[in-house]
Amino acid sequence: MHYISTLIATVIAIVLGMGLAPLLDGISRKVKARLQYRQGPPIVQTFYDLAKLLRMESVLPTESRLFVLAPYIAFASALAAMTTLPIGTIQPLSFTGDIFVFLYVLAMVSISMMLAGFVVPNTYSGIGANREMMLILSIEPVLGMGIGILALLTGSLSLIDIMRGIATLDFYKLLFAIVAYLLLMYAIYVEGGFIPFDVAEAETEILEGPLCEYSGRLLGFFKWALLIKRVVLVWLYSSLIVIPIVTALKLGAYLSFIVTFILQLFLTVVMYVGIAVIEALNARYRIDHVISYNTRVLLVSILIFIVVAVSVYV
Amino acid sequence: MLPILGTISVFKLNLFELSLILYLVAIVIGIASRGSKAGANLSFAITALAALLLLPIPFIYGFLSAEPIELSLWMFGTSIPIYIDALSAVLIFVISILTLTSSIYSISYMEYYHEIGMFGYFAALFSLFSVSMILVVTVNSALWFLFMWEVMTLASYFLINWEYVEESVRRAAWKYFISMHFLSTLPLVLAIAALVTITGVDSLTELRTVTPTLDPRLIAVLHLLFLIGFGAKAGAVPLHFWLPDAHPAAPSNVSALLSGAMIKVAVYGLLRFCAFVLPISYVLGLAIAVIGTISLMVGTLTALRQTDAKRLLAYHSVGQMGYIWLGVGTGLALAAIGNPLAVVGLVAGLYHLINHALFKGLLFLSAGSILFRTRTRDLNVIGGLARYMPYTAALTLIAALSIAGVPPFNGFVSKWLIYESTFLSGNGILVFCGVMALFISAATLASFIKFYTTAFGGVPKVESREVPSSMLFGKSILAALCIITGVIPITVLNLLLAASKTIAPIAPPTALTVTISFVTVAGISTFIPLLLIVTMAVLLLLGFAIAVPRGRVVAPWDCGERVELKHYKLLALHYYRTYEEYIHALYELSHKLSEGFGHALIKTAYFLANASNTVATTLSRRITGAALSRAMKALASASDAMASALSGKAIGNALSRIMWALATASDAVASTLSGKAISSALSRVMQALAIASDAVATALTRASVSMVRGIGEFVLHNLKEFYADEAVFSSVVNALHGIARFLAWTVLRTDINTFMSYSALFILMISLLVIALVVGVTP
Repeated sequence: MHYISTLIATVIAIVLGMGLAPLLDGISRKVKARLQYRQGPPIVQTFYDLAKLLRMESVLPTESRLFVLAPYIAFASALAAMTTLPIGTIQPLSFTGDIFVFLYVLAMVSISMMLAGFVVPNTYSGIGANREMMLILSIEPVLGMGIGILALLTGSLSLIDIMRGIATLDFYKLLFAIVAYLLLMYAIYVEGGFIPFDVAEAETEILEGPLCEYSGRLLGFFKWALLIKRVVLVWLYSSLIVIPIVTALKLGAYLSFIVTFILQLFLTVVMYVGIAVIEALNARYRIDHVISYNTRVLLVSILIFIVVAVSVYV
Repeated sequence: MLPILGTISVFKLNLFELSLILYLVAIVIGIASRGSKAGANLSFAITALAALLLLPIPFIYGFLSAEPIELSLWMFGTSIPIYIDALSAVLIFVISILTLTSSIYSISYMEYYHEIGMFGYFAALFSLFSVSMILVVTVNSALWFLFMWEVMTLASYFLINWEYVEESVRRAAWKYFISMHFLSTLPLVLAIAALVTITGVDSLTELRTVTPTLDPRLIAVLHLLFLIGFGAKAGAVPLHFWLPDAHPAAPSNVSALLSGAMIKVAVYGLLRFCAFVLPISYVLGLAIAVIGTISLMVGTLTALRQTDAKRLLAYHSVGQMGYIWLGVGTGLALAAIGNPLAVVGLVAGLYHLINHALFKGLLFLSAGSILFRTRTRDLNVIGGLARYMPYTAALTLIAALSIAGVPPFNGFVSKWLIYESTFLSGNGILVFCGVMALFISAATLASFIKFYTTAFGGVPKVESREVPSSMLFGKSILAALCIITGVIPITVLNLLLAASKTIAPIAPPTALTVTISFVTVAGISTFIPLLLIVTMAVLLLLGFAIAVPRGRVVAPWDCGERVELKHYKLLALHYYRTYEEYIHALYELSHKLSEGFGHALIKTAYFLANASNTVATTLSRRITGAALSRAMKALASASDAMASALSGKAIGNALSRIMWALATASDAVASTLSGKAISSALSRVMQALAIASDAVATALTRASVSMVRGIGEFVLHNLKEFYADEAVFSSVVNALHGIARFLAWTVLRTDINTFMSYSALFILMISLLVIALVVGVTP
């Protein structure tokens, strides 16, 4: 029974990752269009786009095998990261439940994109990959501070244990946890490459950066992988909010699974729409602005971290 | 343990002894073959065989959980006590695997240095370097440890200085020589001398039983001295300034051994002396963790903007050593307060030690391959080598992904364990260190993406071809190990668990559970590398099932003309510019710090030289001469007495004879000089002054003579008790004599004035400090 439920959860995770990504992108496009007084494309437009791209063969700028493999690795890593997140209250059949393993596997999407971007002799690709790396460099410590605070508060690094641990915290520690959540929200937003942090794949400025030389099915896979990565990040965040609440409610096993899953799904859509609104109202930052903002957030997060570390110690 | 080694013995020798004999054979063949390439190759082959014979030892510890082995080796007419436990086995694994691979690699690679010639000497030194490291990590005597440490330093100095025709290489080697003696050998001599004189025990295992009764303040001082001594050797910031010069200057096969093995030996020394011989301390653990964090930040962020392939790798050695220190320090700090996670920290640090040896060795050998074919290390100049060197490119990619910590390669698992131990420690400082380690992991990734894509990505800028198969073979072994130790961590984790138990026996095994596929920390956080690979494979197949990769390669054109593609690739120079500009202040600070230390060292040397010069010129030459001669005579007689009392052998006599000769000569010079000056009026005033200061000088001389005698008697009194066996001491003296000869050989190669002034200064410093120490500890 246990294995069957985890196996089902794994399949759900993969299907969710593959299906939800284009759908949410379609919703996001619609929301942005309505905000800009446009009709906008149908909600399933991204599915059409991907289906069309995946049917076309690619024009390759290089003989490098890395260039051909990179979109597939990105696609597989994004889905693999999805299988480490809780679906409802069930942990899918997975190689880990640990937050660092999750982050590193998800980072492989960016790594394959950067390797592909740097390998081709194209300045725009290089600049895009360059920016992606600098973005990661500047946001990584903020992400680490957020995780560090949660680890100090809950004494765990397992995703599901952190989420359940939050539910048992007292009032003051809960306040710290909320601050850590805000840091994580910022870090996840930047990592997801949403506007105004979409400097790496800036369409109008550097022709989508690392994707510049991609075409046909390889481009399709890369776009899909990047959309799945966003879904994974938003799903992580919605789980971080939903699971502590449901754990605190102390429902029965079956009911809590259903409630958690519905809430996860609902919150993911809501947050995606919220992000679409932010995206529609903002223009892209320059990379030096991004680094500068991230560093300011880092300084604030270090101060918060010191307060938390001292208070936990006391 | 011994029976296990014994059952597979040949000619009643166990594997360890057999391997040492092969090493000696390799050294002898190397020296005998001088400039012959064939002789050198034979020597490399025997060295590789000797290293291969050592490889079963770590496996016995990993899978049969054997007891420590104690041997005594008969060498140079004396016995060297040997003690091999799991901690030594870890280092034996690292040293022997790197010696094996870089020996195989060397056979073809040394052709690059055909202008230097002397292949045989190189092979002999290479073998000596390797065997000295093996002995450092296995010897069970504090003084023999020091001796082997010095042999290791000297052998590596000659190897770094190999391309001595280059001015930059000579300077780098010289910087290495000076900083190692001032910052590593000197503190270690002081610490070990104090430890041995105070306790009266030389054996490390026996020392362990007596140290808990020592004064805690003394233990703190010893901890500090060991931290400086081993920290300088390991390239810990701020004592790392020599490393980015010395490691790239050496031939690449030596760089692999330097960065892969030698700096790890310093970690072994630190653990052996600070956590095995001396009791563990919480503060020391925390200090090691913090130093490690500073090292990993400074080293890696500085590496980010390097464009010289080997210099980039050398800065990463500083950075990755920081990870090792962080893991080990966390382990020690937690072990001191009885936290069960200590074992995770120690295992993580040692795991990263092995991993860094594997991938950094491989990366240096790859940089050597690039150098071998393109004759350049500048990443701005090369490019597109993947077309000509596909295998080297693939092997480099494996190493680059491993060091960047991409799952499922080995670097990921060790870094993950470091994060687990720091983040779960519940200690704010350690968690902060962990956050910085996480951040720097991204910087490492950035740096190695740059390294790989600038050298192998893009279109070729220069013609090239694949390196010879022996070089590829050496690298393939390391690459295979990078994958195996990452995918099946149990291959090394069992050994590491055994090693961590020698340091922190209190930690319960539940903190880290390892099976063939699982690694579980504290019973909660699990990672299953094999399942990750299966998941990735299934998902990749899913991707291929949706659409197989299909496409055609088309060359770009512009207005009907083909475009020259090589101008469209970013140069290494242009990578991460904005970010580097943003953290410019950090670079300046670390630059100032590291340069400051280097300059301070040299400035101190010059200041001392100048000061003594001024003192000498201020006093009348006659007085100085007379006082000098008297002092020398006193020293000579004292040292004569000491030497004859100690060994009564020729060496003491020779030394005293030289001193007498010097004294007479300086006396003669002094009287000649004063004879010329006597006619002037000034000289009369000087004479008056001279008579006064003569009296002072005489008094001082008397006092110093009695002091020297006192010290001599004290040392004699102590030493005689420990060294009833005179053969030991005479062999040490003989060995020192050999080192002096080696030094004389280098004088021919380096600037003689610098050499003499530094040597004199070095001896002066050591003797002053030893005197201060001996006076300080005498009741």
